[in-house]
Amino acid sequence: MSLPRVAVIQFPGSNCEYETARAAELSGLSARVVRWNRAGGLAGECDACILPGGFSFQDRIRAGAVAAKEPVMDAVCEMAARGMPVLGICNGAQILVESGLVPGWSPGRIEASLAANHVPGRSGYLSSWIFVRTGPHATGSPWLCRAPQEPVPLPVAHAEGRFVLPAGTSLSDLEQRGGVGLVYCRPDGSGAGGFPWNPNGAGFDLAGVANPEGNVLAMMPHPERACMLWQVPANLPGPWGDRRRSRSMEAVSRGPGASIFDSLAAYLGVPQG
Amino acid sequence: MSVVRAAVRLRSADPAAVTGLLALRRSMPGQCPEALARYDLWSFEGDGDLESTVSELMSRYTDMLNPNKQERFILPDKGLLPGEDSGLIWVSVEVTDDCSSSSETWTSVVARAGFPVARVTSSVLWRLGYDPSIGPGRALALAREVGVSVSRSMGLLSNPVSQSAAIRLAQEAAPSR
Amino acid sequence: MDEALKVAEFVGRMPTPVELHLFDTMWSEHCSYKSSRRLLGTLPTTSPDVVLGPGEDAGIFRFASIDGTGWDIVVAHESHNHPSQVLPVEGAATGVGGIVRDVYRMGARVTGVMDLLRFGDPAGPAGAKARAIVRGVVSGIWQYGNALGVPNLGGDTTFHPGYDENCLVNVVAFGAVRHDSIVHSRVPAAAASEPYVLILMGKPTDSTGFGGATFASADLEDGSLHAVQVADPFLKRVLTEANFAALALLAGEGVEFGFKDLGAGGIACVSSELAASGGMGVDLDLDRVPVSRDDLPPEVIACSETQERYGLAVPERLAERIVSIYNEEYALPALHPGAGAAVIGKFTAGDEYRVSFRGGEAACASVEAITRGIYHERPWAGSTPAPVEPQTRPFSCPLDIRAMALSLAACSRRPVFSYYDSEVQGTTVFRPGEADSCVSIPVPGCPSGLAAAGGGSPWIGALDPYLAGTSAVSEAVRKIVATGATPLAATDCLNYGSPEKPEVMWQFRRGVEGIADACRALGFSGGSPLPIVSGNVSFYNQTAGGKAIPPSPIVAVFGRIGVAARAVDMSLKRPGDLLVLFGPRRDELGGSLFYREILRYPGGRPPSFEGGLEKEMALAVLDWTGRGLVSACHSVGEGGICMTAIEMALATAPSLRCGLDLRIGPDPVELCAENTGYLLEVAPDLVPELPPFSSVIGRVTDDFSLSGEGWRLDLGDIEARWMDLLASVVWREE
Repeated sequence: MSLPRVAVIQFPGSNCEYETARAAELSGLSARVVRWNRAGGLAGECDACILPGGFSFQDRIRAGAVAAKEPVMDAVCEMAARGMPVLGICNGAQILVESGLVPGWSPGRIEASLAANHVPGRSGYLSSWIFVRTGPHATGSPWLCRAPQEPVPLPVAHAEGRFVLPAGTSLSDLEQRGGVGLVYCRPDGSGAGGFPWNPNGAGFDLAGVANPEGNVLAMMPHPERACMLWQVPANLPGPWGDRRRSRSMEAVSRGPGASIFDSLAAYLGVPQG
Repeated sequence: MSVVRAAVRLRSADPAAVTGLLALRRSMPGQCPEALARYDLWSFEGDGDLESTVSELMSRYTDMLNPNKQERFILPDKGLLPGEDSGLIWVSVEVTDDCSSSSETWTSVVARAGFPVARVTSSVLWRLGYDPSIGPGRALALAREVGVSVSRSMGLLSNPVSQSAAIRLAQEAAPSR
Repeated sequence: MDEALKVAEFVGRMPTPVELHLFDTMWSEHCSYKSSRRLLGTLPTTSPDVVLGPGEDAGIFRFASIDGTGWDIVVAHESHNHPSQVLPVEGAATGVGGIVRDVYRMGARVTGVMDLLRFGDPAGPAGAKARAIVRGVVSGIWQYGNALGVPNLGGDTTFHPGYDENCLVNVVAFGAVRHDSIVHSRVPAAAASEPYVLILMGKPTDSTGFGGATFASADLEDGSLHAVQVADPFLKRVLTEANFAALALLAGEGVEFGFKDLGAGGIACVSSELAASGGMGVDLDLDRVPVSRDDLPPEVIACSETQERYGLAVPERLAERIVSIYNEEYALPALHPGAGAAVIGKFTAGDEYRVSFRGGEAACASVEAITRGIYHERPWAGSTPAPVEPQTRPFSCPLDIRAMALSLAACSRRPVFSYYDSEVQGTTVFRPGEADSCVSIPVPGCPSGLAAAGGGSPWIGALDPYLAGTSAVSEAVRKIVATGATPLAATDCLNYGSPEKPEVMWQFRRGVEGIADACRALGFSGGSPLPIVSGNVSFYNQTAGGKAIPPSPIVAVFGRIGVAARAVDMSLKRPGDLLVLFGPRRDELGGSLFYREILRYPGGRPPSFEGGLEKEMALAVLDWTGRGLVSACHSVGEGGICMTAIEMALATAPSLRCGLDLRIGPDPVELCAENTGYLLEVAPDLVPELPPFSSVIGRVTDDFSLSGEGWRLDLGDIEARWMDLLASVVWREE
């Protein structure tokens, strides 16, 4: 049986594509970086696609706005419509939002924003480690079905990561439509309570938003930067930090971000060890 | 309380405007303007001789205006900015975020430094120059389509959920050509 | 004027404008090191690990072997000081852009950058300007580095009033390359037997930074208007991907080629250096250079410093395929108007450098004359005054320790590096702030870690220019060793005032001597010194009135740890563990944080350089860390061991919140001396035999404080302010 194929789309200015492909491979998938103008018939050539992090088109006008209009996104929209797994990480998430694929209530229409970070006393790019937990529909998601119950530490690094939904949208609306993919929280799993555990002022502490079918997920944290245990900071609080500090940590020990890629592998039928 | 708006532009070509025009030519050729320019727009609300205050402020904070690379103009309610081709119909699209850390931080920095300014708002000003033969009504309609991203294929300059776009004709009268 | 006459001599007639600009640019301090070349020759540059020493744009040393393939690390170090003072955002951004090009063009992927920054006093009389420059420089670095996708893996930020009008932005880049794939920057020997052409790729040439190389060597004038250097990391990213595709094509064809990036001196510099190092001449056709405007004069096209451009010397028969990689596959012209690749010249037998423009000859000179540059023998004179200690040294403990911790010098730099992406590429083990040096895994599939750190104190520099050099090297070496990595190579950037002043030339000479002596004492490869494999000199860092910056040699050191996952960070791990001090305290507090911040005393005797002790202690730290005995390690730096201890406690995981209890009373020398040393956390059952320079000075507690005999400083009380002070002063202007 040949391995399921993941296409990682490289836009002009993407910069996380190689480690994202590696992370997918570490979970037992076959991954390929595909240039934005060489996408061809994407849906026929891969089983899932990932829009990686970076600065496509230098975030000009607005992060993700220009990349969303590239012809390759026609193919990504087609994949999404066919129920195939599509993940956007950081800049990839911004592109999915500006393409109308997420929250995806009327696909093609822009119904959300990943706006400039809004935190007290600070503007601009922020690099930090945060914790997330999954929303209520995780078990059915190709990206979250293997995510653990307890809070997962992940790194964020962005200037425009604040999820904004149309005025009047309530959290229960969003939950019912399957939109709550990932939520920022404290290390013990309780509510983030603003900055710093919510690093950017996102509404409802949203770190990842999914479409109603659950096959498309737009997430701001970077799982590919935490799929190995040695990538985790040595002074992280909680059980992942304890594992990192432990003398028995190996160079091959897996990290908290692996579950995103393990979920896809399980969903696509790769036997999980 | 009065308001003074300072538009700051790069002395050389603005990369975002260049990319924006290329993107519009490709994806919205029917609505694409002939020319696109981008400015940082700084709005100051305060009392007294606000224009002098703004001058002083902007010469103090080179983050707002660095004369080595930028020039600034007071934005008139109506009329062209220096350097704009008077043979085109110009439409302003002012994009403001629903909430902005940058505006909040600048407001408090400026107040703490003792300037009589109650609020600073930082936003983006786009100026779209259209072929005069289409007439001002049509130019305004096209700019509206470019100004707000309602869908993947329609709109570019602002996001409808987190930003507001004020779109209006710049000139009093249409150019005579 | 002298130099203009020399040009006439070389060309044998009245020089054309292109020739004048050509020689002017190539002979500038920046391009030819006309004041420093001979002195730099005294630095040690070889060791068994060195693959390529100074000479090309970057240095290379051996790193690891995996599956039979050797991998090397490429490093480069440069300054972008004057432009950053005038245009902080663009100056810093193009500094990063320039330094990564030096590494890319050796065929390596850049895996990290560091920024070593020196700014004026943010709280002093020129504070408003200094603060704006800090904000601008940090912004320029993150906008460029984050977009390009290279993680920021270290650096430092130091404030000193001597930099009020002359900030220093030193940038370092490093990356990994297969040993058998190193690309050189000379026209290869094969060009003698088949036609080779010069391809120019990247941004269309404009008048940006025209004369920029000479700009770096002229005094800054207030309000000077130089052509804006607009940084474009987006184009650079696409260009980098296209470059790797082109290099892969050339490697696949098995042809020799030369590859160079365009920096100071633009097309003139690249074409003449490519030709000269291959022993050939070159015919350049300026009409074929993609330009942004039709009216650029030939000297501008030839010498402008437009960013994001590279040059390739390849066989003519492959030129079309190479050009199509840039123009079609990566669609450069569609992403940026006028960008792309074009053949702009050909290499010729002989020594002639010919430039044609609009059907006429715009320049003809000898390649050797252009690239040899000129050398000025500069006089030097100076002496270090005998140190004078303060009359009294009142020390209030713990209040003075608290004041030191909450000073701009010692507070957390997180407000700076929180703007930087330190994890892109997914190879980072230690980020800024976690350990003495950032550690990353640069070679995929190989467990070895690369540690990188820099050093250089203006406070020591102002007191003794020789110790400025020794302390820069030893500070950086300690930071590498503290994480358990063995130092392998170093780079330097020598930042000084005007070399036309004898005192500055004396400072420069003493600094170079200091670096050389320290490198000779601190080699870890058999008996070899620590080699300087690349570097840069920045002169004319002085005010319009002629006041020079304090002597500022800045050194970066690189090391390797066999298994990166075992590198040692600085956060405390377990109450009950012992704290061991390496390095007895010396009464040498000149330039220390205690003297400057608490006594407000600028003089005193600075810490001397003890090469033998430095080396012995480093070997002991590497021995202990290599045996897995050390839970945390931090080298002694600004503030002495009280600050070292505070930093280790503040780095502790929030769920652990450990503190330290020391067997030390309120003694300013014991607590605040900054001479060489390390603090190591070791479990009580693991402590080996203590070497003569070490002692157990305390233990880790579960009380979040730093305490000693008769005193205690609560850390919960200062933590928030320590983390936020820089942000509140510089970014929120509070």
